[in-house]
Amino acid sequence: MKRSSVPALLSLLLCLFTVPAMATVTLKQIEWPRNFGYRIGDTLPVALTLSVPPGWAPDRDGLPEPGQGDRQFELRSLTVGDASGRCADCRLYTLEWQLMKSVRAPQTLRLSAAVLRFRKDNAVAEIKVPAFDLSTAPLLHWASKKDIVSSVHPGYRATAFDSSAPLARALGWAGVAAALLLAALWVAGRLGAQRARPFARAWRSVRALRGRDDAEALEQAFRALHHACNETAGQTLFASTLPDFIAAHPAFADQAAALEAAFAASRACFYGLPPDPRYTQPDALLPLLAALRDRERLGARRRPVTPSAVVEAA
Amino acid sequence: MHSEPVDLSAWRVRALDFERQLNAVLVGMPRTVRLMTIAVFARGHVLLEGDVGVGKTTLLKAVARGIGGAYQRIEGTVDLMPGDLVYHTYVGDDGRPRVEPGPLIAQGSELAVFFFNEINRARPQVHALLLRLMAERTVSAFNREYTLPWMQVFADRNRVEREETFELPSAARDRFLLEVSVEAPDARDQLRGLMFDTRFHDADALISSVEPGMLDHTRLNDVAQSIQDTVQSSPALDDYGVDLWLATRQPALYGVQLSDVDIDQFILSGASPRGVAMLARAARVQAWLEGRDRLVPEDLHAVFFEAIAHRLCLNPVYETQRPLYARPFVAEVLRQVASP
Repeated sequence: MKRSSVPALLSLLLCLFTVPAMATVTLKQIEWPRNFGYRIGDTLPVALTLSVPPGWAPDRDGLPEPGQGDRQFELRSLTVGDASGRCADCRLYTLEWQLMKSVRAPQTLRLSAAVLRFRKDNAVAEIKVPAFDLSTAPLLHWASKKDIVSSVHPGYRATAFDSSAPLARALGWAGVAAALLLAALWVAGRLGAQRARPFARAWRSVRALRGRDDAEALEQAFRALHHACNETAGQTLFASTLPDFIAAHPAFADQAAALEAAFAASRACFYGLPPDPRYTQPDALLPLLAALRDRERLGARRRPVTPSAVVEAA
Repeated sequence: MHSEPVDLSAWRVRALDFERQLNAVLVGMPRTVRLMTIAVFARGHVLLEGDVGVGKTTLLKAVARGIGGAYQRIEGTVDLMPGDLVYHTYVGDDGRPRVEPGPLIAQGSELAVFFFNEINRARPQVHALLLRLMAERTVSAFNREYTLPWMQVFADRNRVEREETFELPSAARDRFLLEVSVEAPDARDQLRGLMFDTRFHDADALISSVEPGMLDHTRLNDVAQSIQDTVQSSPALDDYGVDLWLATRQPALYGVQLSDVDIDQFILSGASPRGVAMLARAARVQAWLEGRDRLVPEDLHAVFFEAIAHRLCLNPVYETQRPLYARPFVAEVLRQVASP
């Protein structure tokens, strides 16, 4: 080679390398379906995002046709959609395969590799879709919900682990919580027989007011008495219905006079009548409430008061 | 209108004497008589309900005689028109038509008791006139307005016969202070007396035993106002009254239950503000008659059913059986609402 021809050859090579490469079809993304939990008849969509520059089109016989497949999978459909949101020339090719093989036990199957071929004039581009492994399981009915594991996984034996320690801890905390709840119910007077003893609760609440001589404390004491009477009677008790109350609860009969006096004093206290000098402090109600509490404990049964005075008034 | 001070103690003696005389006329009706006395001293109108021949008219005539003043009575009929209460038309001796004042205005302001017998036989147009009459105690006729300052309306509703009747609208019912049920006594000795004691066979003679005008109807408005000013309530009683009111509107909230009744669907509307104001008014009179100047719950109980039950609007399902449900409902309200 002559020395003068070397620069010319270099220039030619430079020109060849600076010619832009022709754009071709490229695979941008494959979206595989899950690879487990398939049974006969299930479908597997495989979505391919391809960049297909202008001029490129699927070659004749370049795309698999629905109905093609092996003994395990069959192509149900191939759909082509726009994917310009991903890139300017992008198109979405979705191959929907269907599992046609029924297996007798959980088994891994392989979806064969596939090739998509595109052509532009004499140029050809091939997109290779790799093979894909997935696990399948036989169609089985569940013998029972209790035996689901052996239904779907015959012969499987779960490994037992020791749960006694956390169980003991949980039971311990539950015991503490139950004890606290019982204590709270006891304090609130809502426990079992306590709940059925309103006069005992009233006596305790009035005893807590001992020593106070203000009007508010006296009103609270009277209210406690009324609430206990109402709860025992199952209705609102007034002075006019006290005889019926006593008739329905004979255990309180010896306290009838004291109850009437207390009701009269309460009426004076709340409704602006001349006050009863015997009832100036909550302490004045304690003997009556203690007596009612004792008789209540001895078995004054709750019975509905026969409607008389109030209902007759109505 | 008088303006002299009212001696309530003396008036209470007179009221109790009035009550005693009425009880001598009407056997076995002390509660009915007490309610009528309350209505007289609360200056409220009364709707009477009861069977035929139980003594409603006798009661009214005796009340009218004790109050004094003029008394008028009109019978409710299906063809009665409002003008019939105001005008009396007839053909004179000379063959020419005459128009004279009707029963409402014939006595001018002296009318003290206006008795509307079988009010539910009259048409709604008549009820509408009555609405204004009861609310304002005025009526327009002959191009002028007549004021009836001492008039009290007593209306009677026959509860047995319901054919060709027009139920009073709730607005008209709400104007009545009380609805009083007049029942024949059920004690055996009283029934024997009514049957065989000839004293009870001549109602007019019986009524004549009531001292005429013993209450002086022209003073009753002042006395009523004085009672309302004198008898005081208390915060606890006020709370109780409001609870009773609310229980008529939302009974379920107060634990009111009736067997075979969906209590949430029972009441369409409870007592009206006017209704509970009238309840308090009647209760004050009851307290005064009992010799107190302070209200207590029993005063409200004494008039609660008569002052409230006729104001309740029940669901149509239950409205047709009002007599069956109204009293148990009111009794249950009193049983469940606590005081203090």
